[in-house]
Amino acid sequence: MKQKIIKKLEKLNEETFQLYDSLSSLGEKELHDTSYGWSIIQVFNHLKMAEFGSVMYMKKKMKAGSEIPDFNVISSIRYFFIKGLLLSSLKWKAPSVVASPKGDHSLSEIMNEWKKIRELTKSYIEDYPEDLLGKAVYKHPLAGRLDLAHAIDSFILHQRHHVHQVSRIRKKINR
Amino acid sequence: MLYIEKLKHTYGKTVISYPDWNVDRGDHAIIVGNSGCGKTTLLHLIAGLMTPTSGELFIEGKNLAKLSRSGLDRFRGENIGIVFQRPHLVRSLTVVENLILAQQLGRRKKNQAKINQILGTLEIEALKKRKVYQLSQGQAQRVSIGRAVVNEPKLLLADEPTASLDDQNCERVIKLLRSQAEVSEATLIVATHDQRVKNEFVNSLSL
Repeated sequence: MKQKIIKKLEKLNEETFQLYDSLSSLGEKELHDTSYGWSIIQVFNHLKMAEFGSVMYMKKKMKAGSEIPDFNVISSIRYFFIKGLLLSSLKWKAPSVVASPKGDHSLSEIMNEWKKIRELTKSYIEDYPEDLLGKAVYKHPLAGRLDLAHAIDSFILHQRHHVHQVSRIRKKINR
Repeated sequence: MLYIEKLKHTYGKTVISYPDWNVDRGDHAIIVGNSGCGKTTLLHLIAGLMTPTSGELFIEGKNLAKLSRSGLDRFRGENIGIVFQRPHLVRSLTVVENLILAQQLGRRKKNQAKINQILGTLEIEALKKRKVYQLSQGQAQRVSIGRAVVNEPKLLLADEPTASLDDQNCERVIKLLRSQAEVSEATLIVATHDQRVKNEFVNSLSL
């Protein structure tokens, strides 16, 4: 089970670097363009901050140990629909917990910070107790309580959702 | 359509054993029993939301235990419609968007005409642009019926759909489920402890 979660993290990592590489041809002006809502830098920063916030939340929650509620069928049903929503073309309002991210850093600065956060995520998974894998240690803003495997899965979907957003911004700024 | 044999599910030290059961295609059947006897668990097993500890469960000749998680999600999206005890609609979407989402999950093309027709039958067409958190419990439940039937599933499952309804609405929901199942020639299985519903069905599994 732990191995499957680590594989998911590797997939997340691969897609993060693909996104980073795809943005490296853009100039500062395009990366910071806010004419159409969030700039690409803000989206990138949001993804980094979301991962950091989520891992810190799980680290704190994990202290409850066996008291953490189980990941149950109802949670998996909710996740099934939210997964569909994140993969769909439907537009929906972001959860109120999402604040407008800062956009005054460079792409490489954010990426360097993100690499450290990714290391934190990796060591969190590696150290995660096997007997708590069925516990709903994470609280997704739309899907509710999730276990670690679904949490990492939701990171991938969240990132893909914003990769589409970046593509839309690039189309609008003709890049 | 549905065939279960020597099916068992274990919760900790509690083992639930189910009688063998067969439901023909297009049949309307009921699972009855008191609270805690394992009706919802059986429905979740049939829907592929849980894996049995042992035994066989076939739907349309397919053994669900042999499917991968993503294969199971696909099979469910394409073949099974579920009305849960609570609606579990996506709150950030409108009524109509919840049905569009179900079409996408079932790998169907967006079919607005079909959605309008269902909302009309369920008498909630006027609510189609409302966010689901703006609906009453009864209205949300009708939306969840709409979501369950929008892909014309071969199997329609309903878990305690009348539990919190008065007599008038109870009769209405059962009629709706039966008529929607008939329209799409679906097999209907209702799990309930509601005595008012019991006599409506011939094929009955008592737990």
